[in-house]
Amino acid sequence: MPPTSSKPSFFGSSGIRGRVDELITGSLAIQLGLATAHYLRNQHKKPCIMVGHDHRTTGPMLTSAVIAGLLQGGVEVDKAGMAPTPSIAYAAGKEKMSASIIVTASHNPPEYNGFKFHNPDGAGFSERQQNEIEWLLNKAEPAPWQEFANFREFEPIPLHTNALLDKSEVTTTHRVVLDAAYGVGGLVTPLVLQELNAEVKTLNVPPSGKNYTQGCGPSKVQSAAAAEWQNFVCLDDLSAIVQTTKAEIGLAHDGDADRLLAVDDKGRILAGDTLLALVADYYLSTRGGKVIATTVASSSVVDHVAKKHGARVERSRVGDVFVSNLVKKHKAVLGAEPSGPFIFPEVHYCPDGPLAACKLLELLDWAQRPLSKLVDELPTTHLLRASFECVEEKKAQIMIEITAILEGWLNIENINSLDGVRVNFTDSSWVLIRPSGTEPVIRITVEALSVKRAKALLKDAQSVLKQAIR
Amino acid sequence: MAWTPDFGTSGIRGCVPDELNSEVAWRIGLSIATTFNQKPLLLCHDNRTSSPLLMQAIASGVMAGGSNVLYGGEVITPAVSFYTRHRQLAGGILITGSHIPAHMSGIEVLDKDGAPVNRTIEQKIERLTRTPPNPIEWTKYGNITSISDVGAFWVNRILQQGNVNLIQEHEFRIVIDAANGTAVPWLFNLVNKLDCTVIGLNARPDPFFPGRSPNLRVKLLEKATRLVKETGADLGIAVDGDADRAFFIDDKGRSLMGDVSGTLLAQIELIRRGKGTIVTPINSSNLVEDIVKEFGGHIVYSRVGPPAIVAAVKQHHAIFAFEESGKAIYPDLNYLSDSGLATLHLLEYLAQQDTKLSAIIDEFPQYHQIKRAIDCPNELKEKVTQHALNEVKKHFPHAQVITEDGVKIVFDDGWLLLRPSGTEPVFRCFAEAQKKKRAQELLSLGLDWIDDILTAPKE
Repeated sequence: MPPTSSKPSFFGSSGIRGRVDELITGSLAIQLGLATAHYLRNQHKKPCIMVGHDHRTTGPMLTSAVIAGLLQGGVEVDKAGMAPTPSIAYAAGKEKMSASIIVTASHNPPEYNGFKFHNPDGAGFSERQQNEIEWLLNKAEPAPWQEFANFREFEPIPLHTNALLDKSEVTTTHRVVLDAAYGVGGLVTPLVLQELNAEVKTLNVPPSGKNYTQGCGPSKVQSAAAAEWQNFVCLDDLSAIVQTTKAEIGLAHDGDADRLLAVDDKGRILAGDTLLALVADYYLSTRGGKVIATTVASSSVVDHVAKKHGARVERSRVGDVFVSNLVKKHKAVLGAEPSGPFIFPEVHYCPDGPLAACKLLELLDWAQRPLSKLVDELPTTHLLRASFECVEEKKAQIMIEITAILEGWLNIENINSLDGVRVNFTDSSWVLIRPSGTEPVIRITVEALSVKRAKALLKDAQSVLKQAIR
Repeated sequence: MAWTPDFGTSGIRGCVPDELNSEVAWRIGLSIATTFNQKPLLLCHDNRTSSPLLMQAIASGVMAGGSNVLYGGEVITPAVSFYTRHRQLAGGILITGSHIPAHMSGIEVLDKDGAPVNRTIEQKIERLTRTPPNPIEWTKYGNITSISDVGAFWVNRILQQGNVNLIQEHEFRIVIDAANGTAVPWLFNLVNKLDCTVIGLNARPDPFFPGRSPNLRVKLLEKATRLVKETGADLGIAVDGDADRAFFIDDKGRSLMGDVSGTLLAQIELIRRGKGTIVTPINSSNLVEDIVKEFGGHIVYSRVGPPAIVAAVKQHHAIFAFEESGKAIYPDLNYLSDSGLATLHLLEYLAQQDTKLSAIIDEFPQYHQIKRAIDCPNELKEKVTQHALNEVKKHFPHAQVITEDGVKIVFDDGWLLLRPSGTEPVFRCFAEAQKKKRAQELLSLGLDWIDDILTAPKE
């Protein structure tokens, strides 16, 4: 039996990711296919799986390799070709597949690639599921030759597009600019928005595995964008085009289009937390509901919005899989992270960028006001971030020390230690100290109603962390 | 002996997954793309259970090596070489176990002419597979595109090679024993377009080959011969698993030996073309000698096995080549054996002559051929050959001796061939004569020579 308690070491918070030909190789893909086949055969009588990829140059190679492993392990495959993560996850559910695999490294640089696993309801594989596959890696035996499986080609995008149009209603024409980041969102979102009567201008379309970095790069970091995403996406062009074309909204996807960020009609790049609060407000106003699900890393603006509607916010560890689970557990109307994944359980539990784009048009319809006004009506908060280098093996001990110190602080409302430690204070300010899952750093996030309070809080947190690292 | 991914006479073959599997196939794919300098390659396969997984693994390796993959799906073998050559592709990869058991498979690599790659290229692929090169830089990875016209292209082009109207007018009745392989649907489509009535046997593709072995042997075709008689068919065609090879059954229900039907097809080519060179391996019947001479052709004997036959075909600009195994090669169009072209030309000839296949066969001189395989350790093979040569010199100084592949001694009334197997610890002995008794005499002569060495006291 696989160990169920420990965290998988090979899988990160959204699957396996790395540089192609270093960590991510054809051989790994074949072994991963075999392990997945073995896992699914334990779960299902006649398992089948959908496999597709994003726009990366190495996508077709890795897709064929993982399929070879799956077929050798005796699991039937629907080969989906190039499509957004949410399209493949959605179609897999509709086609009654046992699971889906998307070959993508999301927002990582183009020489990276990886594998995301989804359940038929769209939710990413849980840690337990990832653990079991990791445990089977390089152990799973091929099926006997009589049981080798076959594949068929399947086009997932029409199914997803139909669902998006089915679940969205927009009556007015909106002027939209979409930046698809040369990713696979360009295959779905422009057409869907046009079907919803929008006038769409596109940027960085069609998908291209080679043009990926053009116009972006770490030198043009947008502080407003989500921290883990901003190194690879630059929304300056989008912002400029929204202003010059007098568009009502600018939308941006990451590479595999499970995420969405936005620019308002004044060209301001909205913080992920702001967008989350606006969509939460729209959903609670139009759908009712009692719960919004998000993570420990998101702003308290969403709490403010929820309170207004008599609803509450539930927070999980950082990662869309945890948000999905929380959405299911509390029957939340919406799940989202400030880094751009939006989960709308009325369609599925996979973060869905094109669907979020549709919902933002609905929101504009409903609000009857410019996006910039909606943004300005939200309470202003001040969010500050810092990070400190820390070697992997010291992280756990340091977090224990820090937690002990923070517990002694004054005016605490509550403490959440699901993922790092988040301390909420009675004046609505909070601090989160959290070790990164992918890099050798510990990050600090603070938020307060005033700049002064935020700066003071950050300074205190920094000194605590500095001491602990020493 | 441990299995290695090396080329035999028909590509790389092995058991799946113990020998051939995804990991090995991926490395072979990478090596092929590297050898072909990143040029696009056609990839097709037969209907075995292992074909889809081997195809995906090879495709993946090929893409990592920087070549684009044109994926042609499940098709009949001759269509793959046909498409590679006539669509001017750089090369093709064919995954097929052909006639070998269902749990095995094979990988054949074709050059731009649709012929098996030469030994130098094979050795390069073998070497690279053993110590795989690095995949190409990430910006240059290949892509995969599905194409659906490989089979149809073959059918349509073959129909252009003969007098279709004439064949259609004759409304032939044909039994096709497809061995549950890839002859379905393409060979059936071809024959249907010739307005023939087709009676199918084992005509559902099935990777477990429930109807009969995918091999082609006269003794495996009892059902087919019976069906030809029962249905009053003009002709029976039986193919191997991937339908490159074909045996024919005449209207009296007699299965023709491969060298008999091969000789007839050679005769048809000589009539069509006026003259030309015919290539056949050294173990073919003397019948071919009689017929080719009668129809003004020139005959060239090659070593046994497809690479040697193709090499001889190219060297001597042959118009046709055949092997007793049912292979029929029309070099102007296809360097691999093509059951479709053979069928078309045979039907056209029957229509032109307005005769029955049995009538032609009855007029052929009769030969009796006997074959034996004797267990013989590899290290003694050279000794046996040398001993045979000495004996010939001693006892038959005036006989014609051909040493192309083993030792063939041609007498006025028959011949004897002693040939070491290239793949097994076996020595083969063939004897042929018009009289059965003489054939037996010659055979026992050959068997005695082999025995001399095998029973000799160890030095």
